[in-house]
Amino acid sequence: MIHSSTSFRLYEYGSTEWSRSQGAASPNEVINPTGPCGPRISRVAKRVGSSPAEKGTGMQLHSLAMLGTVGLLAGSSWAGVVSTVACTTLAEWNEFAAEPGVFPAGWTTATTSESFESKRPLTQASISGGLGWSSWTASASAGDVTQEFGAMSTATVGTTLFFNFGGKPAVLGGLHGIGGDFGFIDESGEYQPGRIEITLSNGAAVVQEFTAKTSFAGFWVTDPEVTITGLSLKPLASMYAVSTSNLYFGFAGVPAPGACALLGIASVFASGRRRTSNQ
Amino acid sequence: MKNFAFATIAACSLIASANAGYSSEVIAFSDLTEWQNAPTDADINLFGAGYSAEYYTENFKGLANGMSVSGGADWAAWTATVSAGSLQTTGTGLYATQAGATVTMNFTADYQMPMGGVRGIGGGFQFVNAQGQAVAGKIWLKLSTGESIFRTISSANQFMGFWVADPNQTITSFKIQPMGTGAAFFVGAETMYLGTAVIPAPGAVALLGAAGLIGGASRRRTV
Repeated sequence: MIHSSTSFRLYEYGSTEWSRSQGAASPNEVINPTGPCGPRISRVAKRVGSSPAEKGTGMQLHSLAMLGTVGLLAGSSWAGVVSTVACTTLAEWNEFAAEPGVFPAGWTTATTSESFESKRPLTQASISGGLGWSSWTASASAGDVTQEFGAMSTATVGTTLFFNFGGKPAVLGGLHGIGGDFGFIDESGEYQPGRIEITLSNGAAVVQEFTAKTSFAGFWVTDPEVTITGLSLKPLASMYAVSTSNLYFGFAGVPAPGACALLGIASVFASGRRRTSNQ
Repeated sequence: MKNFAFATIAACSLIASANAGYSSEVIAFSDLTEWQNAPTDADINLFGAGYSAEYYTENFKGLANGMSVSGGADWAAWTATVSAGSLQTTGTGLYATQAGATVTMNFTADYQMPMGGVRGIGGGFQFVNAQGQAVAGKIWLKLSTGESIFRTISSANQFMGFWVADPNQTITSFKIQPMGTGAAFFVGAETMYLGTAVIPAPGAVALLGAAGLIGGASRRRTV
C-alpha cells in the first residue's frame, strides 16, 4: 500500500465544495482532514491492463442514456473525487445511472449484460468473454472455473471467483458499473442460497445474503478517474461453489474520438446528399 | 510470434493479479445482524489480530431539537446538521423538518491512527410524511470515505451500514440524502449504530507485563 502525507480532500461530485474546488475561489470544506490519500492511490494503482476478449458473445445493448455535450475534461483536476455506490437490486442499479449529476457533464452511460444461461459447458483455468469495455476473464483463487448449469462458478468449493475486466484510459471513461445475480450452485447444478463478500478492484465491498437466483448486487464508481478492473466473489462459510448467472456492465465516459469522427463524416455526407438532391 | 509471447505474458499476469485477490477496504451491509457479527466473523476478517469491536447504539432520546443536534460520548461523539430547516428528535429517531433536506452526521472525537475512531456506522433509515408515518422513498447514504449505498426504502426503517476495514481510514461523517420521490418527505434515522476497533491501551499492556514479572518473581521465591 502506498502512503502519502499529502493533504487529501474528498468532494462529492457536483456539490458546492466540488464546484469551488474547480474554480478555487474560496477555501474548501475538508470532509476528511486526516487524508487517507494512500489507500486511494493504491486503489488507482490496482488498475491492470486489458484482458483477452472472446469475440462473438451474445451480448445485448440495453440502453444508451445521458448523451450530452462533450465536456471540457482535459486539464480538469479530478483528484479527490471518490465515490463508489452499492446497490442491492437491478432496478436501483439501472436507476442510479440515470440520476442527473452523477457523472460529469457530457458523459454517456450505457449498460449491457452477459448471461451464462446458454453457454456451452466448459471447465478450465480461466474463461473469457465479452467485447471492448465489457470484456471479462473469469478465474478462481485455486483450481478451475466452470461454465455450466447456466452459471459461471468456481470448480472447487470454498474458492473465490474472480472477474477481471478490460480496462480503458480512465479520463475517456470505461467500465464504471458492475453487477450480477449471485449465489451458489451444488453438484447437480441447483441454485443454493448463501453469503458472499463481493469486493471491487478499488476496495469497495458488500457482504450480502443471496437467497434466490435473481438476487442482485452491484456497484457504480462515479469517480471519473477510476474504472472497475476486477471483482472478487468470496464465499462465506458455504458448502457450495460460488456462482453468477448474469453479469451487468455499466459504461460511463465521453464518446470516443472515433465515434465523434464517424458522426462528423456522417453529417458531411448527409449535407452533401441534401445539396445534390436540391440541385 | 513476439506479439503472441507478449499477449501470453499479459494474460498470465492478469490472471496472477486476479488470483492475488482484492482486499475489502470499506464493506457495505444491508442487514443489522450481518453488520453486528462482521467484526467476529473469521471469514470476513475485518480487523487485524488483537483488535475487537466496541459498539454504541443511539436512539436519540432526550436530545434537544435544532439546526444542529449533538450526542454520544468519547469515540462515539456525534453532531448532526441539516442542509435546510432544522432537526427534530421524536424520542425514537432523528428527522429533518424540511422535506428533501439532507442530514449529515459528523463524528467529532479525536482519534488515533491506525485503528480507533468510528470504523462502523449503521442505522434504520426511513422517510416519514407530515403525519409522521413511514413512507417509501430512495436514499443515498454517503460515507466520508467515498463509499455509498443507493437504496429504495420500502416503508419502515431499513438497515444500511458500513465497516471500514482499512486501518488507515476512519469514518468522519456520513450523509443521508433523499433521492427522487423521497425528496417530498422527511428523511431520518430511527436508530444509529456506531462501531470502533478497540486497541489494548498501553497502560493495560504495562500492567499485564508488571503482573507477569511479579508472578515470575514470586514463583522463583517459592522454588
